[in-house]
Amino acid sequence: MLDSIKNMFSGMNFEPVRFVQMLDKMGIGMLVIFIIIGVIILSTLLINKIFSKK
Amino acid sequence: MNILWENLARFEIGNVIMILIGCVLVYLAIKKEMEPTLLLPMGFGTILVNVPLADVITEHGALTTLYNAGIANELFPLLLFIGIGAMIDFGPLLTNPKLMLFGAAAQFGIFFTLSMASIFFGDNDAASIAIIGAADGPTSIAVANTLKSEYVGAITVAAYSYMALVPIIQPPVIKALTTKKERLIRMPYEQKDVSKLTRILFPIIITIVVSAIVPQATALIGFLMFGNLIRECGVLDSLSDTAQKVLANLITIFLGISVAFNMTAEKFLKPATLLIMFLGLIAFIVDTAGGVLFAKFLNLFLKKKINPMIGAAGISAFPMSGRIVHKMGLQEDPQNFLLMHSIGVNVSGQIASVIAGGIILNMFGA
Repeated sequence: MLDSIKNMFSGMNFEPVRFVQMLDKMGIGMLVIFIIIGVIILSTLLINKIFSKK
Repeated sequence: MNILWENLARFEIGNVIMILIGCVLVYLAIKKEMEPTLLLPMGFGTILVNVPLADVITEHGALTTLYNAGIANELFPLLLFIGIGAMIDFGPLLTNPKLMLFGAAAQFGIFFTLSMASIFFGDNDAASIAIIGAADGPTSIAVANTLKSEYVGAITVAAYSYMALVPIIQPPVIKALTTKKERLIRMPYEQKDVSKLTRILFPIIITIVVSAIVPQATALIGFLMFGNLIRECGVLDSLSDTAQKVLANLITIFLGISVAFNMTAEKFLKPATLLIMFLGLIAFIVDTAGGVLFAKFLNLFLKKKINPMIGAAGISAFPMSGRIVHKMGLQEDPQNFLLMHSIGVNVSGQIASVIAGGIILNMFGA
């Protein structure tokens, strides 16, 4: 019985401190997304300007 | 006669529960029209794999073969992206590229959920669960498989269920975070012609930029943009049509039924599944909040104010999310047409969610 309950929760932990440890990944991830999207926006504005219909 | 009883006796309570879950998925697909293209094959597949001694998931079973051929190596989600890319019109986005910022902001739910999920799960499983917030089924499946998460089945169910529930999840969050005055902000749409060359160059440039910065996203963004290039090039109308309809439909059938490979009782009936469903909901809510709050933040500096509701459309879930924002705008003011803006933000969410998937793979992939 105890084994089957243990098995149900296998692969799971409870470590609240990991939330704080992951905050840097949250910051880096959002920063990288904004950088990439920023580059795409600039590229799009540029191609819009160069190839816009006169 | 004995064989008959022996076979029936092999049914365990777990099998029965999973078969019931499969029936519920089929019911939701047919009766409630919740993402029926995926939930129906998945529901039926769930019934198939939970029949004891079923030959579909033996070493050379049909579903094992399909799973290894198309999901274990991420082929099906990528092929589906060709179809999705061919369906998307980036016109509204090209008219106002700045809208893409909202697509980026609305991925916040993914990274917030990553932190939340890491409390309970290891890095790879937490990252796979977080990507439910991409609100994009193929990206969720591809990332979870690449990271070899043992919860692929639950993640897929959560991703597609919440995409179907976007009309229920998003409006209360949007209303809670905006005032009536903000929801009444009008955004006149300035019709601008986008040249054909711009439409052709856009998918090529996006592929190069994203792949160069996040190489792990090359396949995801590449197949999506390849589909869009087929649509926009103007000389492959027949291929574009095939990608949008035949290819997308065919892959969806295989994808749905193959994902069910992971829906066996021993893999699915765990407390972790409930937790994953809860974390997926958090991801969708925080995504929506991220987009809305980012628009409110921008309004602090802008003379021409943005209706913050359009930020919510940055969650991928294309095109439901864009339509919901438009509908909410009309409910507040029947003359406020936000559709072109919200759809522009919505397609940017599609791009941003794929980029987020690549970033997650970059952080946690081998």
